[in-house]
Amino acid sequence: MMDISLCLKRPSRMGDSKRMRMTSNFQWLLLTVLLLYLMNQVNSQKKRTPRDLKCITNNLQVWDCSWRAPSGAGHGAAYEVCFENGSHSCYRLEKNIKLPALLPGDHEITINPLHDFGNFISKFTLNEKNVSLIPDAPEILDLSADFSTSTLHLKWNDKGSVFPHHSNVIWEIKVLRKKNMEIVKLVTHNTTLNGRDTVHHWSWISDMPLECATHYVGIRCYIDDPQFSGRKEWSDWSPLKNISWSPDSQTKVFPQDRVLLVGSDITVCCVTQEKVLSAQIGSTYCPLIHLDGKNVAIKIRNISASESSGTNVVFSVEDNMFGTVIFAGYPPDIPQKLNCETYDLKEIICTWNPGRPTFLVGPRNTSYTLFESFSGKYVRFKRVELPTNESYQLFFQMLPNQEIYNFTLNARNPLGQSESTLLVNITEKVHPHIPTSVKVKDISSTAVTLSWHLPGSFAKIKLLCQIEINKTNSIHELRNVTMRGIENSSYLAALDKLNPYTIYTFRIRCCTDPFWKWSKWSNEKQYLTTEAIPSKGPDTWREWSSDGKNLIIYWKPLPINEANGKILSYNVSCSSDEETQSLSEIPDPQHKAEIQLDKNDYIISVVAKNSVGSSPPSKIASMEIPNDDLKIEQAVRMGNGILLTWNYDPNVTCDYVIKWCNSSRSEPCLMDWKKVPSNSTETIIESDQFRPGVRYNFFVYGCRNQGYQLLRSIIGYVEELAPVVAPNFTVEDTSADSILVKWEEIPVEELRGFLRGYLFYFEKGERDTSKMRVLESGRSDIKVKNITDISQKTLRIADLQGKTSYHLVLRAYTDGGMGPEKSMFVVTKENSVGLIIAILIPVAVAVIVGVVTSILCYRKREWEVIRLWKSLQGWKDRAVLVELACLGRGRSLPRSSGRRSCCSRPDVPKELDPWFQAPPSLQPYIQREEGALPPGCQGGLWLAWPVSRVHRWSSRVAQQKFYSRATSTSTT
Amino acid sequence: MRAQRMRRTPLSVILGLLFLSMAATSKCLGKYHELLLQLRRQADLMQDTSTLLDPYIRIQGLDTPGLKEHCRECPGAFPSEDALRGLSRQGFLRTLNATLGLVLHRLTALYQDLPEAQQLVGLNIRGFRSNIHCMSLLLRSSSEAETPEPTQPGPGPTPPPTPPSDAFQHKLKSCRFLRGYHCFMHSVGQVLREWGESRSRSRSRRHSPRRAPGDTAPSGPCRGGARRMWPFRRDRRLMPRGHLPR
Repeated sequence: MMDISLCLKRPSRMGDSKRMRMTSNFQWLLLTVLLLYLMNQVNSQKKRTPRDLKCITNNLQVWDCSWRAPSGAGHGAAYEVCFENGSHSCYRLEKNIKLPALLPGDHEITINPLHDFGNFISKFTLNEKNVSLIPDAPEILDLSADFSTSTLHLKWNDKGSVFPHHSNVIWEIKVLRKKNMEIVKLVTHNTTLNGRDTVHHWSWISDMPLECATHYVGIRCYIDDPQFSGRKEWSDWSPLKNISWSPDSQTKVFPQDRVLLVGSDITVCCVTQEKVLSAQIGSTYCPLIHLDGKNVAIKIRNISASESSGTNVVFSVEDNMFGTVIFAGYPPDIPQKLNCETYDLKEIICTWNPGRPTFLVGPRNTSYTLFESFSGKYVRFKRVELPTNESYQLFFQMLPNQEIYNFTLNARNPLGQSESTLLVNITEKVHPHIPTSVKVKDISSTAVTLSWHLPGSFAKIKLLCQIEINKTNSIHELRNVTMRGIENSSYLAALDKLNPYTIYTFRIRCCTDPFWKWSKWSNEKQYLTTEAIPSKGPDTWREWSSDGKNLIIYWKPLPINEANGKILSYNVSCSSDEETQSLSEIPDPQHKAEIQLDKNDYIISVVAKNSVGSSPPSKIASMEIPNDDLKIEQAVRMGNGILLTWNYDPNVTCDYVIKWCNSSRSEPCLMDWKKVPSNSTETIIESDQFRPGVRYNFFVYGCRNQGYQLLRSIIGYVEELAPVVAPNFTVEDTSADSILVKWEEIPVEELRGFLRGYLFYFEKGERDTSKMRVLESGRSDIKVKNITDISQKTLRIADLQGKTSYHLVLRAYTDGGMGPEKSMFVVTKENSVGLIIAILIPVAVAVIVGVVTSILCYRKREWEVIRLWKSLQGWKDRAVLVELACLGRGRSLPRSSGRRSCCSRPDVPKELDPWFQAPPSLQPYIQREEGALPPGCQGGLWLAWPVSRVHRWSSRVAQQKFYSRATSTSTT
Repeated sequence: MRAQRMRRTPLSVILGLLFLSMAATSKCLGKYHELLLQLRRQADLMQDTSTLLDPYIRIQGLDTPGLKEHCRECPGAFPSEDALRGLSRQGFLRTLNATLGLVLHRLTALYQDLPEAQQLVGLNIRGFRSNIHCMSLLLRSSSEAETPEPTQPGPGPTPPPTPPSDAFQHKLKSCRFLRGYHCFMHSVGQVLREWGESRSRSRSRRHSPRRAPGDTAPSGPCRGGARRMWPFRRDRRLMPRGHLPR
């Protein structure tokens, strides 16, 4: 071929392009014809030889080779097959040959058909790569079902013994459902062939109960042998096997009583011969899924936790209902706070918290098992009661000589299990029981023995017990007692440093060493310690009686912690150098005694006695040490009491005594006293007897050799109030321009505080009108005087007006407020010279003004008056004229020249108008019926006729006459 | 959770317990009418479905439409009212005692489902049986001569079931059983109500069908409410309750 093409190519380089193209086409055509001829020859020869040799293997040991028979070969044609595999082997056979697996590499195989019409031998090169590995279809050994769990169990043999070496196998399993074979599951499963026949299992949990429909299962495999270089293919599917439930005639619902996890999905079906009308879960209806026959199912998704009685799923048929109960819950939570301890080293109690509720109760409730790994013992706990949040507990009997315990608590319910572990040295986890049988026994007045019972086997460990000692009105005290544990559980402790004759309350709790937990406190045990002699003498004071003949001795009852028992009586004795007087057996409630003494110096001694003995004596001298330099001071409340201070006095050796009494009480005045140590310089006196607004006297005494000297005298209030009364005041003297006022002191009881001053108010005013409305400081007409000099008792008020009534008010005030007021009215005396002047001056001024005005009026209007006067015919008319001047009041007056006329009428002639125009100031006068004329018209004396006379004299006719004349005059 | 769903204990139950404690701790009452009155009151109390059935239905989730109606009495589970009437007094008391004994036994299986109510009703039944015993003694000591009559085993309550495999059926069965119990106690009350008159009216050993004036029975828990008046028959035998009209 190469030669031909080269030859053909040579002339093309010499000719023109057209000839070259034609020559080239011809050459190609010739070449194609030649090629087709050759191919036909080859094919015709092939058809007469065996061809398409194909080899497959299903076990890698034997290759099953087959070929296509030559054309014309009959059905029973025979062949001679020869191949090289180390040696040359030939076989005579009819169609295919089973070769042992050949070694890797190419192998020549010749197939010689042994027939009549030719002798064509086919040669093939066979390599493992051309061989296909197609395993046999697997065979299902068994298909079973666990209907209760809706689980299918498949069993098959991998027939691994037929394969020469280990291979990976992939199994594909399909699950079909219902008669129409819906594939519901297709899953692969990997195994390994190990040269032996191995039975494999596969399980599958159906989402639908197996009773609901027939389930079919098939399987095939794929062998993935890494050493085999040929093609690998899936086997055929095994024959299907099925699982079906044989229903009886009764309708049933599946699954029954299924327990499942909250949130999961479930299919519930009803296997029935009747038509199902509806299905519901709880009160919710669900759509029906139709299965084979009249069977139906419903799908419940994301189911929520059930009530304790479960969730009902109900299918309704024509006249009946069928159902099942589903219990949706959770697997047990890991037990939390697992704790193991012992109360008595005999029994271990393990407690835990179950954690999240499982919502499963009754037979589905969580069961717990407590396992101890060292001993291999366990205890079981099964709660059948309702779940609560309380801790769960289990008791485990302690084992002799075992202190370390390794506990595993396993929780299990139908949905799963969990566990929690705890390694514990139980001797370090002792939580003793509550001590019981607490008893107290006397040792002395200040010591007792306490005994109690503490159940438990504590012989090998130490106990620490705490005893709480409570005393009335006192903070409780804790005492720790360490002791060795004993077998008989009775324990004893001594308590000292107690107070005699005191009620104590004891209680006990115990723990072990090392500490784990205290026991609960035992019940309280109350006990009264025995009496002892009083530890101190009573606090004593004395006062002389008002007549100075008797000495009154006071003492205070001993406080309980000093009395040390019940005080039965007191002994009082007064002794001097010369004599001794005594008063014995003064019964207890009495805390005062009176002894007649002369003015000698006596030492008074007071002793308190109880059933055990007498107290040390309390001594005080009868006489006071004089003090001439004494002044009274003031004190007020400081905080809750009255603060008294004094300077340190080195001469005071015993103590200070502060005595106080109500200042209004008569002597001997003693409310109470208080002793303070000699190194003190202040004290606060508090008493429930103190009342606001009451003045108290406080006396500070210093003690020297049992004798007391008054150091300070103080008056004070716990709270100052305003005075309850006003000071009584009187007017001592009155003049035309001043008043002298004098007042009295307010009694101490009514003052109710330290007097800080007086306020004096005065103003003009009479008794009925003024009444000193309100004494407001802002009012300018009220004058106020603040008198802060409380010793001042008089006040002169100057610069007053004569013969004027004044309203005087006086009130006192303290730091507690302003007291009430007391007032009086006083009229100053008359000032005669001033009065005369006050009268004369206005009169003179009035006369002068009148004269001047008259003159002016007369001169300016004289001619007009005369003309008018003349026009009037008689004096009657003239009088009417005067009245006319007043008839205009109350009428609508015409305006003239911008001024308002006082007397004009609408029908008055114009020429008269100026005359009637009176100045505005006159109108009030004109409108008065007295007829008084204004001062400005006084010049015209004729006008001064009283209108009353005109009234009496004139008549209505005369008026009309005048009007008509005036009108006519105006017209002309 | 269940406790929260439980209704407050009815006053009737408390009163019933008072009766019970009296009956259980004191000697038998010697007066027939007092004892009969007490029995009637107890029967009235025990037929009240609010003591047992209603809480059970509620707790078991059977209070949905359709389901409640299926909680109907099982035919033949308890003696019918007619059957009870047909018994002699002693026979009636013996049957009543035996039936309640079985009820008590069955109730113990319901403890987990209805703990509180179950305990209360259990006490109630014990008290009632105590009074039955007293009544039996009273009748025996009286001059009334009764022909010995064996206790009718008849259709009684089913024995306590084995642990249920089907919780739903168990619920329905228990529900039907409880309804049957209440119906039975209603019938007992009806019969006892007829006792008072018959004893005073005649010395007959059979019960009178007529009720005392003003002695009204509470409405029954069974379907159909009012029962047929008993037609007096001497040869009456126990009839299954299911034969009664509902």
